[in-house]
Amino acid sequence: MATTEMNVKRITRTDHLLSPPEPSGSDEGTNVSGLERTVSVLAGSAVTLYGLRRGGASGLLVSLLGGAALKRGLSGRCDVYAALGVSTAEEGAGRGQGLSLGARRTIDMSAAATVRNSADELYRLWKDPQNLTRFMTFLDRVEQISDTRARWWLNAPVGPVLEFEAEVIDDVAGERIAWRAVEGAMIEHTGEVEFRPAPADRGTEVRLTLHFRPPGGAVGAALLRLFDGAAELKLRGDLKRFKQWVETGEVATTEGQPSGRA
Amino acid sequence: MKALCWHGATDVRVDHVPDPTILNPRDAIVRVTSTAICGSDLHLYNGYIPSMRSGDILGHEFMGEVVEVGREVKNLKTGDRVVVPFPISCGSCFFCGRQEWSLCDNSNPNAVAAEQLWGHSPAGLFGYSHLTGGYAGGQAEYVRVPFADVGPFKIGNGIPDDKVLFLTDIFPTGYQAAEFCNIQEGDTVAVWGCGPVGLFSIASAVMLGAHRVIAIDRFPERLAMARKLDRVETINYEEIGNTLDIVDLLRDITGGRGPDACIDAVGLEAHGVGLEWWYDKAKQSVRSQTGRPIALRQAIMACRKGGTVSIPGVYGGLLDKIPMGSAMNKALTFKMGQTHVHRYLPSLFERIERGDIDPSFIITHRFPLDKAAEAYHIFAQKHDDCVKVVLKT
Repeated sequence: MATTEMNVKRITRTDHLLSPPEPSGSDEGTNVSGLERTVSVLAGSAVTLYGLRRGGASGLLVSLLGGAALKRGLSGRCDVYAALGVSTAEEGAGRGQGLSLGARRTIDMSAAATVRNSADELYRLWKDPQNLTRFMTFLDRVEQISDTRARWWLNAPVGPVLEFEAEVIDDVAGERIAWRAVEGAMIEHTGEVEFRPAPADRGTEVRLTLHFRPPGGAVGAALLRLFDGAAELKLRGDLKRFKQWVETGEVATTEGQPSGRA
Repeated sequence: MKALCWHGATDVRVDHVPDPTILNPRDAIVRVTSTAICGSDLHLYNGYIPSMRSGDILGHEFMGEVVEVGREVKNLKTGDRVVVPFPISCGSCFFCGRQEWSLCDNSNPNAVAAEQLWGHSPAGLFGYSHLTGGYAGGQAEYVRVPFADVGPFKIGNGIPDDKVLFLTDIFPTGYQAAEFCNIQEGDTVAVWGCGPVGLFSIASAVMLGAHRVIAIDRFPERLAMARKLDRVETINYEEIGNTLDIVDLLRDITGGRGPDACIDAVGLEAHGVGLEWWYDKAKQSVRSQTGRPIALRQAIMACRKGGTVSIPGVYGGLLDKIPMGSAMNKALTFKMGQTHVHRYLPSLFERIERGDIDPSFIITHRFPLDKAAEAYHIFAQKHDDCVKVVLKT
């Protein structure tokens, strides 16, 4: 059973890559180019400090992510690249070339949680997009356009409000819902949520998967790369909040509690 | 309201802060009548637990009176007198269902961050760093209690705060540590640390039928408190020597076998003697390890073959020179964890009501909340034979 899942995961992770380049034989374990490493170190340090100053749950998360970028820069190794079979560390890959190479690739991320409720119940809750605003922190609002189409507004702590239209492309009651952003959307992606019964009545394994195509331009690609680990952790957080909401009726929070901070 | 806030290593202050409010439907607000400083608060005070922020309200041992309840809290009402377990537990996840309350899956809003450090996230805790949720603690006039329909335990008015306050943490913590030892007839249990958790571990080991308890510390007043308990002998390790000397002594006085179970009630800021002590101190000060596991090493080395090492002492990160070879080759069992307080609270309350034990025996100091900063200093320095501080609001 476990082996099957691993294989399934590997297939979904790679089937979007047309022809992943073999990592070069240069520095062993290094898959991030020199320029990118410098950017990772500088931006990672800044993000870490920003997160620490900002404080709160989100600040802590931000600082951890900054730390991940810092580590990536110092070590020259990016786990997400490794998982994708991508390397920007090849000979002559510096000076922007490395950046644009990665920019055309898909970035895949996934999160999993076991929730006590039945697959049918979880599927039904997920089916109504209004419910998603309860636990997806950056999701501002959703407007249903038709049975299969909806318009989404994302409001991240930095940057503009992002808006896109998505359509359901696969829907199996009690098992899975898959969607994709419609042509020309600001955030080009496909996504999928699956519900599988856990063994021995332990509830349902929920797996959320997203495949992003980074927006064009070297800056956008570099930024997205810096935050690729961050986005996956964010996804994991959202799924945990879904579980909290379903299992306890509320989402755990400390937002609004007193402290001795001015 | 007034609240004891952390502002940096050895810098805590009583600040005026806003009153807590109901944030979720299963919250309650409790007016604190008594709260205590835990030995584990000193790890925060001394700056050894990561992810603290200036202004965090400390305190996870508190009790008081319910003054407000959220709309989903049906079992409590205004005016109820409650003691509150220090782990925050939802009562409905896989772990709470297994009575593993301190492992609750749903109470830590920063679970993703905890996973980065520990692999998985334990329950949220009151006043104990942002890795365990960043919840404001109870060394304050009022505190918000999440999942108030699960944690708070109602107590009638006939029994004073001092007798029941320690049901929030240290009494169940000591009890769980002793229960982990699976004590059999004739067993000897050795306990490192005669602070509050050590003393409750000792008392619980005796209650659970230990033939003999050997208590180890370096403070004469703490050893004297331990000796007052039945079937307890004490060792002042400073008079004995280093780890090998302690292990030799324990082997010798147990007929060559070693204690059947060893409890580390010290945790990450252990003291010791000689080279080992200086080595750990140096490594911890440059952050190349986050704890000084001297008591843990001794517990492992001293434990009899096939015995149990039980660890109520707190560790946060990485340790160095743990004798895993000894543990593996002697087939030891390790039992540890934050306490599943909810599991023990009702039965330990009954023991207090019956008069089997009066937990107030460990209180040496009482201060008003206003003097909390001074109280931390005295407790941290162990001035004036300080063992346990209770703060009154």
